[in-house]
Amino acid sequence: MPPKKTAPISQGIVTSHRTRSAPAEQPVVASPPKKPKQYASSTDDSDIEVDICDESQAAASSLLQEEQQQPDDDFDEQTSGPAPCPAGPAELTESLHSFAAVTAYLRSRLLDTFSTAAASMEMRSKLQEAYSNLLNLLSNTAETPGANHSFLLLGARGTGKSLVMQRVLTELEAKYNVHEGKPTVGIVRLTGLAHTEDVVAFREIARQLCKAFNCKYSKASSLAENLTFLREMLRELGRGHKVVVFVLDEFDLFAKKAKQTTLYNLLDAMQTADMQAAVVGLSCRHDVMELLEKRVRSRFSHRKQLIPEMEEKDLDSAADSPRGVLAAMLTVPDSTGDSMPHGPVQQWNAAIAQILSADVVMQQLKLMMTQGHGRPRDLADVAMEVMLAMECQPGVPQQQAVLEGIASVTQLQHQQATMVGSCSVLELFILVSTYRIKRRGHDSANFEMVHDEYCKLLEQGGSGDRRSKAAALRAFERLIALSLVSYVDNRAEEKGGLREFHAARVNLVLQEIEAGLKMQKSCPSLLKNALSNEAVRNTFAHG
Amino acid sequence: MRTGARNAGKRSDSKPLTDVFPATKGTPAPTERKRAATSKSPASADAMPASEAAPVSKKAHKTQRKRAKKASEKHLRQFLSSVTVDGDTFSVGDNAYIRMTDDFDEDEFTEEEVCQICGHTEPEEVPRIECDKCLLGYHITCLRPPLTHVPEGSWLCPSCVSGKPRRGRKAGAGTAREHMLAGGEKLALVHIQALWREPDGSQCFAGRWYEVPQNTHTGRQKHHAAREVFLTQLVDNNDVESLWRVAQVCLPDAFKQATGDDAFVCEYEYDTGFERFRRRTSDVNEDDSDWAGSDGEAASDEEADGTYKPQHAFWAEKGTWKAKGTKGPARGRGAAVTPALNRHRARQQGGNDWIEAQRDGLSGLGAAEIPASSRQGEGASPLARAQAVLALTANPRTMPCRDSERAAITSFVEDSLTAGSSSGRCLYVSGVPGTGKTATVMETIRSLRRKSEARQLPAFQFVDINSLRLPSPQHAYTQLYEAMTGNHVGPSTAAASLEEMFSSGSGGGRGGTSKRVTVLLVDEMDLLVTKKQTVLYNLFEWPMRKGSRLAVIGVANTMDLPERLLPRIASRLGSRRVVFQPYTRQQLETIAKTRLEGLDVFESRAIEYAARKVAAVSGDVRRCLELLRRAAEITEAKTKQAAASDAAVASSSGQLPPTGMVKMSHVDDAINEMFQATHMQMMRNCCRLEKMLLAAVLMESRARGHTDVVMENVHVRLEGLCQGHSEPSVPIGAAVAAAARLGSKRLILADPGAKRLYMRMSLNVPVDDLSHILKHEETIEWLKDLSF
Repeated sequence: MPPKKTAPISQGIVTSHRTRSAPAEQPVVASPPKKPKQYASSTDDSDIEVDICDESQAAASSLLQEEQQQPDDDFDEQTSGPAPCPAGPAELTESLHSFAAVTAYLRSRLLDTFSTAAASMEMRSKLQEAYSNLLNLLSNTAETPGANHSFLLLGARGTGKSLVMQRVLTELEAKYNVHEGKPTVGIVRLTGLAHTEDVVAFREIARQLCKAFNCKYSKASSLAENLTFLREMLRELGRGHKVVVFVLDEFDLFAKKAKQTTLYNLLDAMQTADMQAAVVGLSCRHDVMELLEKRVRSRFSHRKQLIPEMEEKDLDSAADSPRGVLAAMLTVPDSTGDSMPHGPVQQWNAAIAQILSADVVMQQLKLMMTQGHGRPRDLADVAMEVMLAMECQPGVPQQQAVLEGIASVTQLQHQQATMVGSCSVLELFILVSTYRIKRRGHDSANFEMVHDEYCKLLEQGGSGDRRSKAAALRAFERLIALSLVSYVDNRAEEKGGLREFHAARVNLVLQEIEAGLKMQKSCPSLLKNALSNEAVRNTFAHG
Repeated sequence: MRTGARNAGKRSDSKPLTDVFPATKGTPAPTERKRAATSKSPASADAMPASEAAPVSKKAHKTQRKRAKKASEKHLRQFLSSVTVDGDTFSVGDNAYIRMTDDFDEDEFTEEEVCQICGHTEPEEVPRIECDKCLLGYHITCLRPPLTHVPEGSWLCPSCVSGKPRRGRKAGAGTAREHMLAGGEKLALVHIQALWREPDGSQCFAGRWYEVPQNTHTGRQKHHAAREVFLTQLVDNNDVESLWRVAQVCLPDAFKQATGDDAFVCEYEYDTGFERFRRRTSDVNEDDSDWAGSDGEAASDEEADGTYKPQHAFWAEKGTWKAKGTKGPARGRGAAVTPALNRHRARQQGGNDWIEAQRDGLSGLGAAEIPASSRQGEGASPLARAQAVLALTANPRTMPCRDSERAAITSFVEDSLTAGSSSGRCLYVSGVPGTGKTATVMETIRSLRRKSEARQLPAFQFVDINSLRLPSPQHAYTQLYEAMTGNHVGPSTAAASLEEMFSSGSGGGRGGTSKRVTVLLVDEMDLLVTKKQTVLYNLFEWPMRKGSRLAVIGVANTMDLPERLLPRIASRLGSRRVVFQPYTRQQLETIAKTRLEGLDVFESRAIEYAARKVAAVSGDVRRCLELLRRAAEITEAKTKQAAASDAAVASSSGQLPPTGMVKMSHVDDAINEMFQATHMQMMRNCCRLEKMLLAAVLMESRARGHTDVVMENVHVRLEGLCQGHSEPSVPIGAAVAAAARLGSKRLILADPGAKRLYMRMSLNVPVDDLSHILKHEETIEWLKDLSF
């Protein structure tokens, strides 16, 4: 599956490039879908192949048959569909173009989540709830002098915190910044990944404030000046009934410091009469409140909202399930109106609805979810895969594309086996040797031990294909670089000394090595024996 | 008593508007309008194109410059603090009507507003109230039904309530107020900023104009108050003869207490050039009083030589209102203004516009219009008003429950003001956050300042340093020095200068001109601790010096901070202390009830519940107030919801929706939202695999007796669980990914996922909570059977 994983992506890129450069040169006739890439090549054995793979394979193969007979039906469907879609090469090209337009629209929506097009994507109900809460709160701040708020938006990574935040800010700006160039609401965004340093944070605040309210920003201002500026500017803005919303992404990183100057100053401004502002923090840590210093915590309002992940029990619901989210991502909303060709859009939406209600897809989605891949961000990845596949072959979306997209996300957990499969035979020998030492009860081994084991293994297997020690060392180092084998001490390499003598250990479980060996076509059978068969060593020891 | 008999001839030579300052760039038209108003109606003057007006302006400017030159030649322009015209005394800082026409007939003005019902002013002893919309007066006894007392808040007369406002009297007659509010054809309002005598003996004043709502770019709007005026940035110099009589203009709070017909409310400044409104703050008034000359010794020093020069007059003399490079007299009370003037301009954040905005209010930063929502005030629902008074930004009228602490601080400051050079002028205030330390100190200082204004106490200067607003501890010197002298210098220079200043015995001001005591508040003092603790040592050493005239109040959280400092600091600091204990349940209740006075929206049990909860946790008043505010919000939302759902019922039965009272249940909701930890919710929300992994981690750590477990072992256990309960097996990659996700939520503490098999993990939630969640898991039934 690993080679397959990358295949659709690269293909997609190439094709899209071609499409963009010379759309007119597209083949006039819709090429029948290429033979779907085989799903799981080595399904015959393997403990590592979980049910997902079996199932997906089953799905894929059933699909494969379907599709092999289908290309022509497909073609017919397009032409004789509900929308008037007259036959004939020229018209067909046109319809393909319109599908390409749909794909491009959906793709841009996925890629640029801040765009207005993306705002047409419907949010699931939990996000809606958080959205309206936050919007109410910030509108209150904007409308009522003195109603300053601090708020914390919590939720696991990829659940949609930033999405909610963005939508709220867009709405706020649309609602209050009605006069061009005379904003009422200014937004200052900071992220804990970049702005934890006081100097940087306050300079950034000053810069964004100046930008939002058309003042001249001076880069050379010192921290002291910027600190004063923040308070004076907020006071000045408050007098003109102007509101500043501070958004602190990765809130916990601001709280990690011993001296939380940034948080203190922002939250203290919330307590000051004649300043009108709000602070919204985003974090995925549940214990972020405990990180706050006492005086900062006292100034924080303790309002918070957790954005929950999608739950298994909601799996069948229309909106709150992965299916619903995926549907929202892949469906062209009615609001696009005339900007999109009507017929193809309807065809597209119908096809998506049909695909997503299919049992195979539902099962795959459920599996994704139980394994924790049911987050919107993962679903966006799936949707993106579908888009790429559609760019290869413009037309009505196929079920297989969705399944492939799902597989590409869930298969990330098998990447280690893939890496093993891509190793050379010598590297595999070294890897197996290291593993054998581990199996014998040693926690770790250095290269010398591994090399000894390697020699023994070859001798015992009667193979004369022994490589030099230097080559073996290079292979060992490559395994380290791939972190299939890792040094016990993280900083071993920095510390210097001879690499041969640093303790290392295998970072894989047996199943992964087995799966990897199966993938490597030229793997000698001796190696498979050595991995699974302990007795090999015993005969050798006695003999 | 004002007499109607005034010499008309005298009035004719007292032409208003002797000259005009170009107060703002690019705003010649409004300035001109004032000038043209002597002969033309304002409406036609408004229509006058700027090009036509320009030469006049230039001419006026020339005149003014000539005059200024003459003044500097003779050195005779003499500044006054008050002037008497026809028996009326006008002082700097007063607001006054100004005559706009030459044919000004005082008799036109009705002096007294009569009762609209009986048509008399008598009986005088019966209070008359004024309608807030049409501004007509009524005896409270003439009303049907009669009122027994003047109602609080706004009141509308019967005809305004019924929607048929009574027409005013015929045009031309009416009170001064009516003429003024009609648009300033005959009368306008100015704020007197400076008064002086010209070399030729004529007396002039610099007046800052007020504008009425209908002359602003938004026009009069519904939410504008009937007596509302706006202070513009336009300043003109005129002969004092054009002043007519004193009027009262105040901020909304003070306006409620104002009486008489010549009272106006001014909440906003209005910039005619930018067409922007900007809220006035109480600071503005303090600035005003600074100009007034009634302010402490520095001012009286200057008065002694007969040339009182307020800062604006100082600028006026130079022929410009822009203080470029001007060093105003360094004055204690002006400290808040002066530093801004002396800072390095070029590097100032915000650019020149920003600096001007700070001083003059000339800016695009103001509001384009006064938002109606900010004016709900009395009209807002009780719940919304409750939220407003509970907000931490609200300034409470009184601060209850801190009497003994306040007394201690008051006596400390009073001692240091009066005792001269006695020692021990350091006070350490400690207490956990949210117990009102800084607020109490600030309030004390405010009340003492009022006392010193009333000359019951010597004047003093107050400097406030918050360590968390300093870039480094050493910047405390810079701030202190800047506040005392107005000069902005680096920390080391400031330290040296301060050292010299305090050791020479001429503390508290440059050159020994001021004999004021400086009271220094060091907030969040614990952050000034450096390795050698020099900053703290200096700050607490200086008050000990003879003649330093410095008193220091240190505020911090920990009670034993002095003990943790070097002994030489502790000995200086430790003598006087005030400890703020966390608020008790009763105190929190009192505070909440004081704030909510007059608003009957909280059940007293609800307040008690919130107070108990907060007192049990922290005794932090901020949390208590926030909790109550949130409860009020929840109630409002629920009431709205209920009203919406009942709307159909109500419309059919004609009932009013029930007014919301904040009940125990609402407070409970708020407590749940704000106090409840999120980890339960987060765990419940985990996906299947994550829950299984949590179970495996818990079992593994139980079995090993260690909190730290390794992924390798956990995975084995997880596989065992899966096999035993017919779950699909979990590849190690999925387990590692799940652990990394749990780690990012901090439900477990985990090494980075790259360590895979050797990733160490430990639970970061209480074990009982976790097992509770797992026991009650619905989707994974076999978890119930496991024993944790």
